[in-house]
Amino acid sequence: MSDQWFAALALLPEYLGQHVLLSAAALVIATLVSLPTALLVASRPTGRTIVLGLARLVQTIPGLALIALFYPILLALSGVTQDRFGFSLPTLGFLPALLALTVFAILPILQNAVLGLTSIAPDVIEASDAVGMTRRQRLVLVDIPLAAPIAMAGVRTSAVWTIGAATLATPVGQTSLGNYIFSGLQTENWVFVLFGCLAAAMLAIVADSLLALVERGVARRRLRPVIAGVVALAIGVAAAGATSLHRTSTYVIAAKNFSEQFILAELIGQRMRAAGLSSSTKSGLGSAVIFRALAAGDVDVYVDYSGTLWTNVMERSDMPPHQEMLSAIAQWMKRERGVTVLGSLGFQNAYGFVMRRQRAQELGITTISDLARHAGQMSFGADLEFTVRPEWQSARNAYSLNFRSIRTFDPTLMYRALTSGEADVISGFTSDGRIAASDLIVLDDPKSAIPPYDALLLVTGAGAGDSRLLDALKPLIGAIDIETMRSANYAVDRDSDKLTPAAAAQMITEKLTRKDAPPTP
Amino acid sequence: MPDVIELDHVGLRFGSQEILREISLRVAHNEFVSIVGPSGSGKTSLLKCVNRLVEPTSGLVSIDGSPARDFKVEDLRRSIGYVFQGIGLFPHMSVAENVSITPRLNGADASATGSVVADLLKLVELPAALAARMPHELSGGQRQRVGIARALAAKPRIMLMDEPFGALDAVTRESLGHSVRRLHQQLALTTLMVTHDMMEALLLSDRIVVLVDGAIRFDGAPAEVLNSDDDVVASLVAVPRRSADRISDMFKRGTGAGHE
Ligand SMILES: Nc1ncnc2c1ncn2[C@@H]1O[C@H](COP(=O)(O)OP(=O)(O)O)[C@@H](O)[C@H]1O
Ligand SMILES: [Mg+2]
Repeated sequence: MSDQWFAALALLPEYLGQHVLLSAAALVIATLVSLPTALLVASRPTGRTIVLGLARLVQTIPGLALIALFYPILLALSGVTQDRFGFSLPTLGFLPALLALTVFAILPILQNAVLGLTSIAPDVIEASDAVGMTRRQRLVLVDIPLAAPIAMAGVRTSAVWTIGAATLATPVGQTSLGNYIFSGLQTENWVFVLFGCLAAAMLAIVADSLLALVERGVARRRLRPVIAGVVALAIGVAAAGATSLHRTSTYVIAAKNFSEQFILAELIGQRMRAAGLSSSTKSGLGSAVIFRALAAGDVDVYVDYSGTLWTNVMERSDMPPHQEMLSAIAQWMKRERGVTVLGSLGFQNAYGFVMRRQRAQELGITTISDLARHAGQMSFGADLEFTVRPEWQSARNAYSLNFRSIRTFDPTLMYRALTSGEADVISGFTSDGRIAASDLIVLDDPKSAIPPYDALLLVTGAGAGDSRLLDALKPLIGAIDIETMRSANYAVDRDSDKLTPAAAAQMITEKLTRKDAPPTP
Repeated sequence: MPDVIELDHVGLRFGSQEILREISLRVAHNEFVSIVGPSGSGKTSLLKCVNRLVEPTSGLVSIDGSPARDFKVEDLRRSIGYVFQGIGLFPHMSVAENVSITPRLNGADASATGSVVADLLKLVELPAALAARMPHELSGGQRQRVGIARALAAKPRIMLMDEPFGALDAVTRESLGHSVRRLHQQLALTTLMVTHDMMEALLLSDRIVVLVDGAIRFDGAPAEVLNSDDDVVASLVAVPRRSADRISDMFKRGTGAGHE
């Protein structure tokens, strides 16, 4: 248990530093945008309605969706800048997260600033006019000082929101405290989830208290608390900047959002470190986002699966023999996207039909053809997306599968249903650790109805010409068999005695070096 | 010598509503004129036409013989003291900052205004220690005295007052009334005061103007008000007259000298 806490703590400087930089940048820009806008629209009812309406509209978009939306927006924009001006915009990481959070942070500041400017007592306005203030003098001497504490309260609200929402930056490849939460949720590592939530909450509390100090100073027009608060905030941001400065990594490794990907990213990182190469990891990326990021050069290396590349990226629906497909993928990647397929790691993470070994033996089932003969008496448990995927269509047609009943489950519950006998057969992933751990078997697919999902190591065009990188990665090709991957996955996924992805990757590394070493007599 | 304030056939409309009709009024140097009338009769609007918080739709307002509209509006307002029921002290400024606002708008720097503030507070009979307080730390009467000090800070020759004692208790009203009249004399001001209280008007002013439905119904000295046979004027005087009679009766009986 305490191992997990130490593992989490070791990541804190990087995650917290990035989180602080991201939130602070978003908050500063949002403030710089909101305050002049508020001044501009406060005395114009129509403008006010439009601007506040827009800000409120943005606020109704769920935070995660807003961050995700900036990815395609930037992708489109980047296309335009590439055509017109010959440079492209980063579509992943800091920029989309910053833009989304900034847009998100605007409403509370804008709303409060407008409220402050429009709620000045009529008597005070009358007095300002009567003593002969010009419009500008009233703004500087009366409107702004009276609205400032209320606007500051908006900045506070916004800071708390922004720090919370910044945890959602992880899926677009921006490191944040959300990395704990996303990877923790995926690997059911509750220590990580809790640690991420606590760290974000503490950060929000600290930022809020310092901003409260500034707010009180502004309200009472005392310079000292304002300076104290601003200096403390600046020191915090500077410290965050310092943690990310010395972390100038040369290579970016990416991972999708599940345990195997976290482990493989760690494994790649460990190989590179051993070769003296520095790297950083963007983990928890969406499946569609990650390939584009590699093709765009935002990511240098990651592991994807042949079936995914074939159907989703290349949009092919035919099913050539395995080796033909692999070489077609490699050629297409090189030609169409400038991406190099270094090779297969040695295992597949495919969809498969999974049964309890004992039951399969009793019924004499080893292939999907055998399964089809018994399907009429069987209940099939599938994960949430399997029954709408092409793999299912293809397998059902090829083998004329006709189950007695089909139910969909959350993946964790699906395995429970199988072991408890509630389901007779389930759709599993062939590299899932629970297959070995629960004494399950994957049925053979003699008609090759389900596409192969070889784990392929992909690098950018630039990476393919980088001999130091290639030397570091090459030993991974063909080196990880399905049993090794399953046991590493299981070490991360199991309920007790969990390993972190880094520790599981270490386990694989140790196994590899043992294999590499000359056999002992 | 021209009159200090002159309104010549001044009219004011808000949309289709006629607020002021053909108002002609002259206020001489160091005269104290009260405007009395029912609520909604246009008293405040008339007062605001003088310092251009409201621009008349027709007619001409002149200050010292020059049309008010020829002044730069901020300069005009800074040269005229304005005190109103709401007071409108700046809540984020100390008493000293409130009082010295007009000199500062005119370009005086903050250090030079210290003695001015002390003098003004003395003038409105407030202790100098109040200078550092914030408006919310003052009583209602003190607040209005600060309001008057602020209006006097730019050494105006004209004071406009819109129900300046409206929100105060009777004792405070009476003491402030005395102060205002004293300042009027001492500083040789020309004062135009709006009030809905005929008693106050009778006790403080040199001349009383009665406004009804945006038009001047009566214009004369306090003694003439008491003798007017105009029914509106008579009704405005009726209440103070009855009160005065009752109180003088009580005094007579109380001293035992009143038996006929
Ligand atoms: N800015 C304005 N817009 C429209 N009508 C107004 C405005 N100011 C005053 N009025 C109207 O003018 C009339 C006279 O108001 P006012 O001068 O405040 O009267 P008084 O001070 O005698 O109570 C009232 O009917 C009032 O509703
Ligand atoms: Mg009025």
